[in-house]
Amino acid sequence: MKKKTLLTIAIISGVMTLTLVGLGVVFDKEDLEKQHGRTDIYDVSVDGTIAYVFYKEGHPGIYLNNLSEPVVQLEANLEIVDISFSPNGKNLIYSSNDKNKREMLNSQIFMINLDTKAEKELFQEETLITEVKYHPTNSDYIYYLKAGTFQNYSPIASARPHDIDLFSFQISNGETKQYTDLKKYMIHSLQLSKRENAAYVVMDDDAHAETAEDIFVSHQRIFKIVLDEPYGTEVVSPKDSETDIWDFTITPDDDYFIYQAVANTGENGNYQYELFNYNRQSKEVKQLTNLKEHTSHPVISADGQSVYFIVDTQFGKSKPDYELYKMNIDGSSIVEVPLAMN
Amino acid sequence: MKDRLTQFVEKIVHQIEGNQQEKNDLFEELLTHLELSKEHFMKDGFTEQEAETKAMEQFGNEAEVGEQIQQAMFPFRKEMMRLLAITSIIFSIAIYLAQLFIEGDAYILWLILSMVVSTFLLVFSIQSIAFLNRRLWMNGLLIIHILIYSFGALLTTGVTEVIVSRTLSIFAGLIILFAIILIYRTTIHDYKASDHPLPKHAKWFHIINITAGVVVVFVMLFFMWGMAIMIGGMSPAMAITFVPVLVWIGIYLLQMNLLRKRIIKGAYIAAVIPIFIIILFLLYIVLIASGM
Repeated sequence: MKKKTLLTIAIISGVMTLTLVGLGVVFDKEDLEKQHGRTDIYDVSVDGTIAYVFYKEGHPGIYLNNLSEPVVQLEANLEIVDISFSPNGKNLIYSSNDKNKREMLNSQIFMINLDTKAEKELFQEETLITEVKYHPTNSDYIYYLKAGTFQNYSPIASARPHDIDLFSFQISNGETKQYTDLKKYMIHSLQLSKRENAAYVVMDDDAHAETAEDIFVSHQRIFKIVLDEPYGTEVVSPKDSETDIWDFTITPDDDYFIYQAVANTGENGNYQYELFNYNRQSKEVKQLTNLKEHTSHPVISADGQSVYFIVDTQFGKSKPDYELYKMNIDGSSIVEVPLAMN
Repeated sequence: MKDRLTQFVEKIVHQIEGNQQEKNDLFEELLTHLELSKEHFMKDGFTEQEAETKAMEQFGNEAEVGEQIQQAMFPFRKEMMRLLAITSIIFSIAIYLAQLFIEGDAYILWLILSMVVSTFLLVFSIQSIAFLNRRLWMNGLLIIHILIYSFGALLTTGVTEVIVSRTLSIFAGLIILFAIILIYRTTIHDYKASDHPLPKHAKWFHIINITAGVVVVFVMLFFMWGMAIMIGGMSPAMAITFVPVLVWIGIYLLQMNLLRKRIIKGAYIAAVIPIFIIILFLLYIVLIASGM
C-alpha cells in the first residue's frame, strides 16, 4: 500500500516538474527581450514635437508625439542611449550601442530626416558615447560625451562608463574634436549655450580633492566648459552649496538653470527629487515642483516659456514608470503630456 | 529463518522513525510482550503455531500498530513533515510561475532542486528510512531545504508585482521558519535517547548552534542580496559572504568534538565567543538602523 502511495507521489511530482520545466523552456525570455516600456530619454523640437524612446519587447524605438509607429526601431540586442533634435527640428540624431556593453563597446550615431524618414550613419566609435546633443544654433555640429572605459571600479560595484570627456563631430566634413582631457569618473547632462561658444555639464566638484574622503564629500555641480582655446572649466552653480545637482537644463538666454536635486526623503526612505530654478544673476534658488516623486530630465521649450520633465512614480523599485509632464517656466500649471506608447 | 513473531515485530518497528537505540528497545519490548502472550495461549491449550497466530491477532495489524506507536512516540511529526513538504511544493510552483510569467525568467535548476527536496520530505513523512542515521538525514534534508528555499525567498523579491512579491515573501518566510522549528524539534527530541556521553550538554550546544546558524545564514543572504543589487547580478566576489558560514560550521564541529572528549569548559568557551560576536553585530545593526 505504502509502496504504491510513494510511487504515485514520485510520479505526480515528476510529471509536475517536467510540465513546469516545459513551460519554462517555452516562455523564458532572453534578457535582451525583457525591456519593455517608456524610458526617460526624450527631446522636444523647436515646433514642440516630442520624440521619445520606447522599448517593445526589447526592441528600442523612437516615437513621435501620439504616433504609434516608430520612426526607427532597432534590434533587441541594441539600446538607444540618447536623442537630440536639430535646431530646425527637421533632423533627429540618436546614439545606439550594444546592450551587452561588457562584451561589445561600439557606439553608432545616426541621423534621421523626419520628412523623408531617411536614416544615415554619421560616425561610430569603439567605445561608449553616453550623450549626444545638436548645437542649438549650428546644425553642422554635434557634441557628445564619450567614456574611455566601461568597467566596475570596485568588485562590489556594477560596471559603468568612466573616463568621460567632451567631443564634437562636424557633419559636413566628418571631423571630430576633443575639448576636454579630464577623464572624469562621471560627466552628464550635456547642454550647449545659444549665446556663447560654451557647453555646460554636471560633474563632481573634486578638482581640489586630495584624499578619498575629500572625493567622497565633494558635490555634483554645473560646470561651464569654454569651447574656444584655451579650453577651461569653471563651476557656475552655487560653489558652496551642500546640494548635489543631478540633472539640469539651461534657459535660451543662459540666465537660468532648471536643475534636479533632492528635496526631501519620503516616508518609504526614498529620496524625493524635485526641480529648482537658479537665477545666475541674483543667485536665487526657487523650488519649481513639489510632486514628492522622482522628477528629472528638464527640457525647456524653444520659446523658453515651458519646461518638460519626467516623473518616475516607481523610483527605487525594480521597474520604473516614466511619465512626461509639462509646466510653465515659473512652476505653475503642471499637466501630464499624453504619449501614444505606454 | 526468523520466526513469525520476530518478523511481525520487525514490521512494526520498521514503521517507527526513532533512532537505532529507540528501535532496539522497542523491538525487545514488543517481542517480550508477544512471547508472553504466546505462552499464555499455549497454557490455554493451543498449539505453538496457533498460539503465535492468536498473539498476533490480539496485538493487531502490524502497520496500524506501527503508526499508533509512531504517533505516541513522536506526536504529529509525520503530519508536520507532510505539511512542510506540501506547502513547499505549492510555494515552488507559485514562485516559479510568478518569475516565469511576470519577469520572463525560468529558474529551472532551482525548481528541480526544490521539487526533489520537497518530494523527499514528503516521501520520508510517509516512509522512514531505517538504514540511515535518522537525525542526521532528517536535519541534513531540512538544512538543504532551508538553503534552497532561502534562495526561493530571494526570488520573491525579484517579482515586480508588489502584491505577488509580498504574499510569496511571507509564504517563503513561514516555510523557512517551519523548517527551522522542525530542526529544533528533531534535535531536542532525539537527545532524549542518545548514545552521546553528555546528552544534556550536547542538546544545548545544538540549540545554541542552530540559533547562531539561523542568524549567520540570514546575514549571509542579506549581504548576498545587497551585493547582487549593487553589482547588478551574480559575481565571484559574493563568495566572501560564505566565510561566516564556514567559520560557524568550523566552530560547531570544534564544540561537538570538545564535548565528546568531555572538555566541557573549552566547548562552552568556543560556543560563547561566536554568540558574543553575533550579539555585538546585531547591536551594531540596531544602532545603525536607529540612526545613532
